[in-house]
Amino acid sequence: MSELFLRAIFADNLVLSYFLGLCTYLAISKRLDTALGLAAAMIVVQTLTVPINYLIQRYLLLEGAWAWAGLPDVDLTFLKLIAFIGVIAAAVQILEMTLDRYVPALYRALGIYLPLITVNCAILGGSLFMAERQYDFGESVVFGLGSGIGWALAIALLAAIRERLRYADVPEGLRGLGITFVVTGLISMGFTAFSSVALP
Amino acid sequence: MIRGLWTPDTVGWLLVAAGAPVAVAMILDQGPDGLIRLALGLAVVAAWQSLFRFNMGVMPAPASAITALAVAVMAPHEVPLWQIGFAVSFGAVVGELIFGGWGRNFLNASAVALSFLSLSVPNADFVAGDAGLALAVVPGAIMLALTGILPISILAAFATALWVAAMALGLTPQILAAPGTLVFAVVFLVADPVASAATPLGRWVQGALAGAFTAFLMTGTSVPQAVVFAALLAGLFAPLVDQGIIALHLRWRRVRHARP
Repeated sequence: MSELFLRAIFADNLVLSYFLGLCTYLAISKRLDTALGLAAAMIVVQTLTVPINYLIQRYLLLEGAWAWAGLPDVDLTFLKLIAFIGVIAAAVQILEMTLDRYVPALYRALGIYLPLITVNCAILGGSLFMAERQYDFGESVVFGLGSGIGWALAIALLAAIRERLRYADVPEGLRGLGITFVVTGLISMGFTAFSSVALP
Repeated sequence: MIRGLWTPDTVGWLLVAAGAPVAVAMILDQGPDGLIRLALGLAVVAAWQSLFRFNMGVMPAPASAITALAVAVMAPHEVPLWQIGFAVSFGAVVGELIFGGWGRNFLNASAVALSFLSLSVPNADFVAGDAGLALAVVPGAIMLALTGILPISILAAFATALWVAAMALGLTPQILAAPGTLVFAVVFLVADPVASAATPLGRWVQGALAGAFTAFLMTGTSVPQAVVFAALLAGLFAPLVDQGIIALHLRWRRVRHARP
């Protein structure tokens, strides 16, 4: 379990190894405090949606899941994608209302990117990885939490580095997104150590 | 002397002076091959620096010579020269020059170059320097520490964390087998005067992170590759560590000085 947790944070980091959820990652990393807000939102959403999606898949969608109702032949696997997206959308909607009520400053700072977590590839990717790798319930909780923390760690690192890069003198053509891509590549190169060198 | 003695160039030349005994020891150890690799690395660094000087106005820095030295010292012997040139180019350009040159970079260029090389030739044997290399690093390190360029806190934290983590994982024999690489890497890669953490407490944290990462990565790879990647990772974490320390410091101040 702890190995799965560490793998999800470091070696199989969603953003640095699979490049999922890059849009939000690049857009909300200018300031560290906003990035930390989004990071917390990602951890919450990921930890909620992966286990919920596991339960939905296991007890509603997989072949034979309806056997208790006398319908052993029903196979609803084709609804997997839309069911996962529905769960994610609902979780984000609840999170959005909570933030709007209790932390309005963060709600305004995150702006359009909060509802866009719904279509964040990292969240859907986490659920699909859970389905593909056939985790059980405990593993899906650990994987959801670990991959959320991994994504949060990655955006916190990038935001801190970008704040430090205010002292840098980047060539004209690379300013803004260009240098951010380069920095993302360098962070990814550092994290490669965990996947290719240390844990083959 | 209008700007005083302590210009970035002074620091840079002191770093080069600290690297000089290492270069001599490396050439004595590896023979003409070592000299050719060092010369190639220096030529590549000089070429990129002049390109950036005349096209972007980035001032050349003597300290970048350390990148060429680090690659020449630690790269595997069987790596062809063009790959050495590639690695030094990557370190000098992506690690340093595109951020505005030495002094404005946020990562150690030598660590970037060596990680790049390590990913290009994953199964090659990186040089695990002997005690001779470690001895050659010591005079330069003492000189840098006395002039205040080398943060001693990073060295102390690195050594402590590495030793404790290695004891916990049962890896002490491997550490004792490669003293040269470890000492060279901690002085020239981890304890970088520009790229390491800026807050005093942050330096302890960064050094400890580097030591712990080294021990952890050693479970799956050779000591030189582990310490190179640990230096890169600790550099990546340094800005976040600094921000955290500053936030804590602000909170402590508020608690101490706030009027009720």
